[in-house]
Amino acid sequence: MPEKKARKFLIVFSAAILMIGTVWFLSGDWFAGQSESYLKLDLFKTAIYWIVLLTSSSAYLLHKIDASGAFEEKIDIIDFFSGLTFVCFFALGIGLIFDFSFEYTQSKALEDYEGSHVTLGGDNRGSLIGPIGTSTFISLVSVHDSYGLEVLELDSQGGLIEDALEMAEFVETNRIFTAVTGECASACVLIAISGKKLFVKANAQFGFHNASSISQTQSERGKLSSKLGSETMFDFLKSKGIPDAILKRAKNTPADAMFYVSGADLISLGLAERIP
Amino acid sequence: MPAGWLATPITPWRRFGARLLDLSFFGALGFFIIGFIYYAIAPYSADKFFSFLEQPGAPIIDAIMTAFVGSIITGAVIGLSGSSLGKAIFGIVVVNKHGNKIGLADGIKRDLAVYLRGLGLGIPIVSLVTIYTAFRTLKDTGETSWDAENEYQVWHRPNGQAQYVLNVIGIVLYFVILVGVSVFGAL
Repeated sequence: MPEKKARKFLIVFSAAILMIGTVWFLSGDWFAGQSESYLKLDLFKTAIYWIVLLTSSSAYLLHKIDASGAFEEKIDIIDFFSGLTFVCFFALGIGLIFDFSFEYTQSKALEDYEGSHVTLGGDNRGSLIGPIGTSTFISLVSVHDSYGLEVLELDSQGGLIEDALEMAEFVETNRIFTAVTGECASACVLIAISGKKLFVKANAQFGFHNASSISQTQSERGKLSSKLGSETMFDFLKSKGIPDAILKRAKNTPADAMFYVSGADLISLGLAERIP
Repeated sequence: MPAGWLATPITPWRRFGARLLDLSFFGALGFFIIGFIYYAIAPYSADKFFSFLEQPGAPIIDAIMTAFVGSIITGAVIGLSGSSLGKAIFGIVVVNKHGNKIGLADGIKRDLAVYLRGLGLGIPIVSLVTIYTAFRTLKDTGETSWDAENEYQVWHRPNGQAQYVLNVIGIVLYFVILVGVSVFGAL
């Protein structure tokens, strides 16, 4: 009997080590760097995890089968804690499947989200008209490297937050002026507010709202992604001097709506200057 | 049944110490398991739920839920092994009238009875009243109501130097768990 208990404990312990090791090792940056596709790595990780989980739980159940082939009714303390452990790992396995599904649909959505390109409008003036997508930042870098941008004019309803933040950092680092004469909403504001100086028309419109995931918006992971995107966006805007009163209203504005602040308001807040 | 253990004299303070330690340890463990499963399957809802527990006034709900979860796991452990972390340290064993373990289901039922009648659902102020009432019953009759109903027997390791050391360890461990849970929550 002690031998059987020891074997059961060993099965649970080694399964736990293998499963945790699989998730940790195959999620690591080193391994991700070796893989051509992050999605393939994710799928591989999930598959290995489930193979270990199903094999180990089967091996455990084999110790609960009596001489007549039926499951033993008697449960001991090891069975109780092993059961709790396996429930946790089954939940984690289900989570891995949901994670993969979300990442897959997100990668497909990103393929269709190239966004607009920054184009050269005049002497050292760049222009972004349209959404911020996966190729927008690259186009900004390319135009700046080729022509040396001094001013970036923005007319956009927003787009991908991560790419907008990259553009914001680039604009700030390279001390590029930003200008808005029409509309600059959502992720676009992140770039506008990062310019060396922001020039606006009094009737320009700056839109604020909560972020939204680009895929599975109603799923648990989609909602979490939206929430994290919103937090990132609002923290950035706060660090750039956007007042709490505006941020509070923005946080109460759903992703499918927009709360607008005019260029004149930004000028009165000292965050922008009137276009001469 | 360990040799030399005693049914009398009763040790209400050791039983109380064991109960506090078990509820804090298994309550934290239970919440960890619930959180682990909840976050794995539904991370957004889990985040909302656990954020709610950080609101003002929520510590009372937190205490009630922790006591409930802790009681279920403690009951299961006692039912399957006769003892638990707290009871092992404070030297207490719970068995049925035949001297055998009481089983998983009965163990959980017993501890839920303790949660209701002994701890007052973990509700502050109410629990003070129920704990005192249970203490008086134990002192006057030699057993608690939930044990008397089912003819369970509670045996104690004899008092001695070793048990005093273990009592101190148990009390320190209780506070370490409390601090650990608070620090983890703050992180």
